[in-house]
Amino acid sequence: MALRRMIILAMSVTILFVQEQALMFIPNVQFTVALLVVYASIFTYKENMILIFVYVILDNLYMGTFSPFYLMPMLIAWSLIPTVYHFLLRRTTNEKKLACFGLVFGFVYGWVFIPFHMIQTGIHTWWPYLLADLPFEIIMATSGFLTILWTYQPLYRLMRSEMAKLEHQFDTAYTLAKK
Amino acid sequence: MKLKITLSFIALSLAVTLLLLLPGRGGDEAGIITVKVYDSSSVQVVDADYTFDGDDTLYTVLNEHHDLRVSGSKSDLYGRVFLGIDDVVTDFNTTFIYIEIDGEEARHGIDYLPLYDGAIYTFTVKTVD
Repeated sequence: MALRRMIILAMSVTILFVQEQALMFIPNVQFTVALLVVYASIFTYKENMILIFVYVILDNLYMGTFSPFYLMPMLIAWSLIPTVYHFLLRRTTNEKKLACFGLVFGFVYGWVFIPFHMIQTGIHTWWPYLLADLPFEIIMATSGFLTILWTYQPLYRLMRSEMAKLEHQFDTAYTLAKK
Repeated sequence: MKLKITLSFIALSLAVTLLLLLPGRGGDEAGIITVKVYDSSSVQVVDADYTFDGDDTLYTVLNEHHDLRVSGSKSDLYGRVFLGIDDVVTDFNTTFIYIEIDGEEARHGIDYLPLYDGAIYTFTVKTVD
């Protein structure tokens, strides 16, 4: 992977992490889903998976939840965004379709955690987890739907233009360095 | 733009309605609750009234008067799992404690159930079907 892409990926992870920490005081209200959908539209599938891996490790290290019972479901759940975007949604940029995906994802994200909590607690009944998590899933689904609906297109356009600018700056710097 | 505003309004209205329909934690500041415990043979083993105040949870009230068996801790995502009280013990896989508040099925665990003045909290050992 080119160094320039790695730098852009690192900057993207930083934005993702900082906005999540900044919005931590409102449970499950964040731009993470919208940003990951934008990243899925900009970066390749492989780049997205690297970005998600770094983000999940960083988030769990910072939050003190560095355990397979949180790492694994988070990795699986967040990886669903680029996977569905690239293979099921066929790289659409229609914000209404993507917002509907964000709505469904809010619920799926919570469901992915259920089997891991069942293993962790040793209580093999799934419905209490589902019931307890439902308010948070509703908030996350609504937040995902609204943030994608309103911010996807402007963020996507902004990121594309900034990426082009950065690529140009890198190219100019590289040419000058060669001379 | 109109469609976006309409969709946002529908999504927000739906979310607020769903959240309002879900049972909240609520509860009273202070009062007296009645606790009834039935063992696996449906024999009543506890029938007592306990007082509570603003800082109490159902767990703290019960723990003050009884020997409780729980799994996990309050800081867990869904709080502690209630497994037993005094000689009434369950394993949650084959038997579990079914909690009712005034005859209605409880929606949370003992760390998060609301305390209502004058309410009857019934704990019944049930077998997993």
